[in-house]
Amino acid sequence: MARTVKRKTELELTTSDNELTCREIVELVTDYLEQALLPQTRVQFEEHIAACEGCTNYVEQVRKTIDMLHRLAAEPVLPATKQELLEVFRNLKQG
Amino acid sequence: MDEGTLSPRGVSDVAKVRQNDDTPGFSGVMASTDDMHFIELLRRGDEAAFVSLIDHYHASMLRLAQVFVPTRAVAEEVVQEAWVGVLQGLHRFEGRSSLKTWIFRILTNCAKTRAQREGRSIPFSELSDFDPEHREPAVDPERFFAADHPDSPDRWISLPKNWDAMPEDRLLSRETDAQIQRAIELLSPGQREVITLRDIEGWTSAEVCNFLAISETNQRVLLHRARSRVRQALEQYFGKGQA
Repeated sequence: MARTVKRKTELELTTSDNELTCREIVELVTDYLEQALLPQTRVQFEEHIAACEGCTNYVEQVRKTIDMLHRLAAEPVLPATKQELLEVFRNLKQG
Repeated sequence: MDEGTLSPRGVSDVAKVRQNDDTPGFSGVMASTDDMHFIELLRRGDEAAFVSLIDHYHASMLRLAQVFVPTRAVAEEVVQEAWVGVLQGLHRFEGRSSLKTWIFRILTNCAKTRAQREGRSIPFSELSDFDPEHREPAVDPERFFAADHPDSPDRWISLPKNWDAMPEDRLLSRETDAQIQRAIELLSPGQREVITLRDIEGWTSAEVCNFLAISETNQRVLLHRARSRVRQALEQYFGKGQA
């Protein structure tokens, strides 16, 4: 996994040939979800995943990963912490 | 601690990415009238206003502090210190940034100072994140057929699984959350900051770019690497015991 590969730029990808490969799709998925692909690449991306079960699952896995990450945010502030901070607030107000 | 302070991150990185680069986003840069109203209430010592500020931001601050300092206990101290900084700085707030950005700048300044004291150095940028020659692939190259394969060049050897087919309680378990946390801890600080703010805390891309003073493109590079690694960690975890 430590191996590195040279990534093509989006422009190189779209001008090299008309079809994106699975290896290219996984590198473009963030740009796709961020709506940052060139319109032409977006079409190619969607054409690829429509016909490729592996890449459909891959994009869905990334979407689920984002949902799972967002779930971590739900953490209430402890009442004791809130009380402590209110004390700080009151003290600073007086001082 | 003052409002205009930005970390030098990104200054040298910007030249290294794609040509259609862009400047940091400008939305959410200035304080809104709501922000100014809020500040006024806080200056007058309105406790309800302060409580609502705590409810809004405390958990996020705690999470972001943990990007920089080694333990949760230290992060809690850092957040407390940041709140004091916020309250002491109220009279200086001029609305040149949004209230949220201002609060989180104070927080990161406190956290970075504390991290240095704890002997944990925070690199300003990780050049390897932005060097296209040395970018780590999102997926292990071994998962694909070679580029010169006669039938399936650069296509999947074994398809990624459909996670919908997994039992819900596996996806939502505490152990899954712990796996995600562990994967995040292994990211570079820049990747950690971006994925924390964007995906956990739900900040917009423009807010994150402005806050970290990085371009949209560089933000996407960090986000891409971070999400790819977390996904990969989950795939490995879900794959265990299935085979």
